[in-house]
Amino acid sequence: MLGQWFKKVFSQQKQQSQDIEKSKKEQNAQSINPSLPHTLLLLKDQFGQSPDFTVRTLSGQPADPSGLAVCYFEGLIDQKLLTSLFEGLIHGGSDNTQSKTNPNQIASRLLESLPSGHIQIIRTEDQLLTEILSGSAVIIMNNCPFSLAVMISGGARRSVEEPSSQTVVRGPKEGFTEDVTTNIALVRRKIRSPKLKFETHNIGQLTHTTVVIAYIQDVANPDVVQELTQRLQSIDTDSILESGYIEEFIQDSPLSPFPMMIDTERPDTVAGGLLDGQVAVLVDGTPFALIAPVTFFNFFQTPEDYYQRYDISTFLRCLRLVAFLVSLLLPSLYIALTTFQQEMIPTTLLISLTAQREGTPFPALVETLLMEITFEVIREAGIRMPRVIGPAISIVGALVIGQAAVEAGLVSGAIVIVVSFTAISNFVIPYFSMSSAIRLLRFALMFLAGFLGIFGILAGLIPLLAHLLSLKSFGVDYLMPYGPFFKSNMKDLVIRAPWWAMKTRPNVKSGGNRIRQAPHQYPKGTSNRLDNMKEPEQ
Amino acid sequence: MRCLRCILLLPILVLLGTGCGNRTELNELGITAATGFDGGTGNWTITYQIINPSALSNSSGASGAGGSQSPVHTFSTQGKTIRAAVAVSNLENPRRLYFAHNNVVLIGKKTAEQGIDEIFDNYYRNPDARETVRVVIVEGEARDFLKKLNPPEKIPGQALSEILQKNTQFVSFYPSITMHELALKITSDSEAAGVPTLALRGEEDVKMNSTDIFNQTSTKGKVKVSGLSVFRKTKMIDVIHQKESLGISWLTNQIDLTTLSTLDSQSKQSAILIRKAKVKVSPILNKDNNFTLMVNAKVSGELLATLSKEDITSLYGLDKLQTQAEELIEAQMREGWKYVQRMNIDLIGIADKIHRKYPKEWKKIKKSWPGELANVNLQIHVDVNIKRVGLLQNSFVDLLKSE
Repeated sequence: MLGQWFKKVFSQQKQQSQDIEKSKKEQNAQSINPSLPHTLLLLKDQFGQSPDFTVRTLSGQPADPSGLAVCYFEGLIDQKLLTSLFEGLIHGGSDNTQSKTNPNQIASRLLESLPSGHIQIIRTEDQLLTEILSGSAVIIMNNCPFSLAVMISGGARRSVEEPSSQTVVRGPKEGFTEDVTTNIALVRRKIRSPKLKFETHNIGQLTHTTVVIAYIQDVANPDVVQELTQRLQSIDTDSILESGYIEEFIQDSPLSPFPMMIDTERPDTVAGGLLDGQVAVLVDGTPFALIAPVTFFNFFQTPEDYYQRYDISTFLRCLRLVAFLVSLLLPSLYIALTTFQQEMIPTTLLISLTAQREGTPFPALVETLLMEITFEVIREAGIRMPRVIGPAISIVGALVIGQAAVEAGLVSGAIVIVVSFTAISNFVIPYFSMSSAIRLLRFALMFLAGFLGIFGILAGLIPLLAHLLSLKSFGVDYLMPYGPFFKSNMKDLVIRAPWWAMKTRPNVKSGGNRIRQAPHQYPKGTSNRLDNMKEPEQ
Repeated sequence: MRCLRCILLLPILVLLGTGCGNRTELNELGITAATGFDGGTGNWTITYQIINPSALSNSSGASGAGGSQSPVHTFSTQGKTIRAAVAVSNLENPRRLYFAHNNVVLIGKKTAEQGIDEIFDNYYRNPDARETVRVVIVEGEARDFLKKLNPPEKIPGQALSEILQKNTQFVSFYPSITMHELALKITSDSEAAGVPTLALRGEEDVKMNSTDIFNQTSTKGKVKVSGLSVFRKTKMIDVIHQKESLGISWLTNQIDLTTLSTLDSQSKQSAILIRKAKVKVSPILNKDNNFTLMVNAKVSGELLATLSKEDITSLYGLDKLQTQAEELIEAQMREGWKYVQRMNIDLIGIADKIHRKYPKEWKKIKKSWPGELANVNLQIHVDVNIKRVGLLQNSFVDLLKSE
């Protein structure tokens, strides 16, 4: 009901903005005026005030019939490539005097001789502006109805570093950067197959952000790819600054607190997802890529699960699910048990809890809320605070949710343990988007527990489960393979089966090609050759 | 918009409508460790032993200073019915009485003799009173027993419950019984049950009523499990002691672990720890329409100590020890049986067994049942198996002689 209401309000706004954008596009679709001075004037008009916009005129006056100008933004191009471009232009230009007059000939000669891999012919003003803005040097020739865009983008960029938010002990240490070309390369280096496909989209009327869909042909479900493409194309906004924008625009069930796509800054996670038949979305300007479709349990699997032994991976996955339950339920269970269902606490524990509560001023609900909010404040402060004063937060934090608060008589001792353990459990969940979802739900459950006890917790959990069951991420049920039960998918869920046992890919996520590897790859152990090996002589 | 309003209304209704009505903070609870019943119909005296948590916890909570405080507080209220007495407790007690963690129910001897039907009704009707609580009869008034501290345990109620349990577990003299088990037994065909009895042994020690007792190394008086109160229906009729009670324990297969002291032909002592005992009691209908009770006991144990000169390294010597133990167990069973026949009370629960096995015959003897016990014969067959003799083989006395 809430969803329908939101939809109604927002769709009206969307209709209006679409009309405006349509009219804008029509204006800009003019072709380039063959006169060089006119084009330069247009560019000056658009970028004139920017100090980084550079126009370099070659071959005499701009009004010359053989006039040639190179336009680019200083910071967006690679200086070395620019130098070699100029070298090519100057040497190539002084070659043949006769053809100077014919711009078509100049253009074709330049296309042949310029020392650059990526040269594009552009014909509209709109394209001209976009190319310059995305880091090309544009060669504009007098009396010529088109220009040449030479892709020499470069400039200061962050290099490939270890991902800061998703670290592993064992496994590749490289992470995505803000440059989508680098990111594509990082993925391509992992999957060297012509079947790995990238489809580029340009989203945002102002930002013109490059958004790339990646998938493996014959492995990914073509319907999912088509659906994703269609959803991306229907985005109509002026800016995309981060993949979070895309996620909110295209995800199923936008009102659900649960994330419907995984965000990762690890190329190996993306590659693993692609090989499972998922589809990735890379966005220029952010190191975070999106993976869809996902299920609930994907959020409890880390790439490291596949790199270390399967037994410890299975244990860790169970541990994460327990931590998920703790992080969701522990504070509310504490409230429910201490204010409603005291008979569920063992006598000795009840006595010590009661002793701690002697002389504490607030009811358990208020006490728990107080400490939870305190923790959230400390956590937020820890993220936003300048690095230099970092140590201060740990000292203050330990005082605020620690023994000092208990000794001051504000809260009971047990609540400190409850809040701390909840907090630590929350950090165990590998994906930040999932742990944030739980952070919010926890508060709702705490209120329910404070008013209705364990009955309240159940009254919260049952609708929550129903909601989870109703969710779908790009056609895949969120609780798959438990929601609809698929036995064959159990081997990579809570249990991580050994690699030699995982013959097939997960069921629904992938398309037709489900066979991953040949069967019967159980390690055979020592061969006769090694058995007969002689002991080294001493 | 109307839908939205409904959705917003829902949490408000949940919060206001329920209004945390039956919410009780922990520090508002009077956790009862033990309850005592004295008096009887029309004039009940209920005694509560309430735990004082801050005295028990060594946490550095705001209340601080434990140690010198008494770990429990005991008080009594009177009323015409049990619940009426509980209700008036709030005239003198600031906390809500909370019975879910009650460990043990003490029933005064006089009350038990008058009948305990009302207590059962109260326990089965109210959800906050648990039938899993242990029942014990006290010699005297329950209220006196609840005032006594029981060092080194801090909470006397818990200590009593533990004593009852440990007695059942390690000596099996007076098997402990819960409210529910008691109800099952006295409503069954045999209509009889045994409930452990507490008594104060030694001199009356005033200090047991205060925390001073924790500063002493020994106490003059002790609260002790002293016997087994025998119930016929809801009324207590007698108290039996170790000899008979152990026999009943054997015959009801309630021996978990116990230690036997056997004598050999030269009256030398041996101690045998019974680790496992399986006693099968089955009634068999004779040709003359009398019942014979077949008792088959399979017992295994270990030798704990011996002064006997038998060569226990040989099977023959060990066999002798086993035979002595078998004879002793049979004698113990006979003691219990003698009591059952003398008092005509079916503490062993034969009635149910006959009812199940011979339903037609049961109908005939049902009316005269406990009286029929006199015509029942007992056939006992005990098989003792000593599995280990310990680290030493022949007795130490034997070692001295051989040198």
